Amino acid sequence: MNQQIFRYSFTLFLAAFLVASMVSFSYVQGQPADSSVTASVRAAREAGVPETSLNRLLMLAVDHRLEDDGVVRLVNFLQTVQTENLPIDPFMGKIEEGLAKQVPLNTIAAVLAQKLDDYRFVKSVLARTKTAKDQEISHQDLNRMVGSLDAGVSREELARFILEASTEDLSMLARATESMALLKQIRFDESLTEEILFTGLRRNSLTPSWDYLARVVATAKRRQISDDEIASAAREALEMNRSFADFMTDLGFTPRDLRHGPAVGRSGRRDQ
Amino acid sequence: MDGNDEQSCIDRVLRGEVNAFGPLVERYQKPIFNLMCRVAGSPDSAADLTQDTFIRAYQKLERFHPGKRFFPWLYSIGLNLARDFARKNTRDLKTGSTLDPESISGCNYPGDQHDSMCASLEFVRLEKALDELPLIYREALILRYHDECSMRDIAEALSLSLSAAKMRVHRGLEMLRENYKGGIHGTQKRSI
Amino acid sequence: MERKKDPFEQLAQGPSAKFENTPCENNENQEILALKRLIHSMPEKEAPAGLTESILSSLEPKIIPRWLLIYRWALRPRTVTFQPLKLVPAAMVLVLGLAIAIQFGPGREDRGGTGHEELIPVTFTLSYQRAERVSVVGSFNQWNPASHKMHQLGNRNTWVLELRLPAGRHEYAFLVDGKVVVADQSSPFYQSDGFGNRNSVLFVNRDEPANI
Repeated sequence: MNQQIFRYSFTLFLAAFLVASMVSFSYVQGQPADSSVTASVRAAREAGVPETSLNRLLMLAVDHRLEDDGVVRLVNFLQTVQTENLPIDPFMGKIEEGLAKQVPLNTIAAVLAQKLDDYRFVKSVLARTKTAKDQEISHQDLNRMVGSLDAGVSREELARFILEASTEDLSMLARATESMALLKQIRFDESLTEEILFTGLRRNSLTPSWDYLARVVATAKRRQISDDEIASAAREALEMNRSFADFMTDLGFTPRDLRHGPAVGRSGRRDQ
Repeated sequence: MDGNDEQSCIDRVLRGEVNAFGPLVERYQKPIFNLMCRVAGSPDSAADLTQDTFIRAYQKLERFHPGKRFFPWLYSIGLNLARDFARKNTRDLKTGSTLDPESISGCNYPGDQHDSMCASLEFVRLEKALDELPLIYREALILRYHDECSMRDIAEALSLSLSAAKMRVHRGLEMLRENYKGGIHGTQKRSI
Repeated sequence: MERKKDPFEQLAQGPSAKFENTPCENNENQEILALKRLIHSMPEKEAPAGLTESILSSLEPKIIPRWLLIYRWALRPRTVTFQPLKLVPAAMVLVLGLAIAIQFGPGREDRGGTGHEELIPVTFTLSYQRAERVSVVGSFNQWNPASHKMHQLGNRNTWVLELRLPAGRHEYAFLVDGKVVVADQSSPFYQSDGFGNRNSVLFVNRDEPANI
């Protein structure tokens, strides 16, 4: 009996071993030799860089006929980003953008390095706030804050804003920094900008619908509504926790305005 | 030639064997040429566009995902070229009927030839009705009912989601039915 | 008064209609069925003779980096055959191993986008003289010039593209002839791309507060 059991168990083990061997050997046969790109891709994968991002990068390399060392450089960069727990997508997007615009690889690499530095800077500023000590910032919110640097806000302005804002909600803070940058672009009064945004942060009323604040302000300015009037309506709506639609109605936007879909680029003109 | 044979051809092409691309061209030149005939103003233009399609597919072959079907991918390349051509050229350059005019004219209407002529006229009407459809709807119908492609392959060939492809086929049939009916009634009015 | 001839009657009676007797619910279905069969038997043109030779003669042998050949080799699906009855115990061992690998393996980052988002129509327009081709490149199409090519209006200096985008913030630019980056002059918002250009920024919203 014991012999039968032993023989049966051994058969089971042997079967498992044979199956495992067959599967692995069928793939060993004809397996090509390794390469530096393969090694860097494997390392990046092991570091946690998503498969989709690596696939995107390799496809770009094929499309744009990148040299091996260029590919390795980009893969290693993504690995660095991943290791620092930063979002991969903005960096992948910047690579795609640079290649589409036929920017030399060295320039793309320099821009990526600058971008990485921007992320490190913002994280270091957040680390000095009480809020960030208690909670982890999401990639989406971090992207928005870093994006404000590309939108014309200086590092000093951003740091001051983050440190002076009294809020425990990092998503609202991110929304506020983005709005600050956009309002600066359309030359809205900067002191009024701060009043609006700090009110919204203090009252916790800067909800997602206020993402479109700058766009509404731009339209209001085109209709000759003064910055003071705009700021007054916005401050009141945020102070009283009223809706963004109410703010727009206070500025005189009609339901037709509210429903009309956007069209862009109508007046873009270039003469060669 | 099945999917594995196609993949084998592609592998050999990627290893430097140009002639390994030949079987793929032989297999799919007809549907691609007919696609271009539906768009181009002349058989010469259609031939050029067909050649461009295969050359572009060859250039991008390393991007073709192993394990997928080659024809839908090739078709999507051809369709993009066809669209570009259609945008640059006016529609009145449309090539003539797929049918050889000889098969229609010169009949004295003995019984068997009469049947053959009717069949040709049906196809001429069908072609006219198809020609009035937007490009994507027309191609969706041809891929589905002539080339007998699966909906998944059609979606890939037309660069659409599966549900969008199904909608194109369904809606395309409805529009074709209206066009076909309208074509007949129009012809009858003029014939009086 | 002559009865209007139903075109589908003719189809049903013609030689192209070698139908099996399929029951149909109504005339409309019969018409559709007839059309499907007609499309199926539609004649095709033969491709010109010598096309294959002409194509092959214009091609150069491909030189593919070794790492790409490896990558493609790894991507290809394989078929494994086995006899289930003989290998059930071994299969259980494999399943157990896979379960452990999935449990402790690397995670995947969610690339975002559920695929179920509502899409809002947006029209891009650019006036540009003497352009051969124009594309819209942006965050919504991975900056791919081939993805969204604009088409010319009757006035050949005006380029237009209509597409549907999910709600939210989008960064974009016009790419002229594959190399000239043009910002959208009508957009008040911009983002420096770091390469010396400015991208434009678009906000798309389906809800009432922001459709202006």
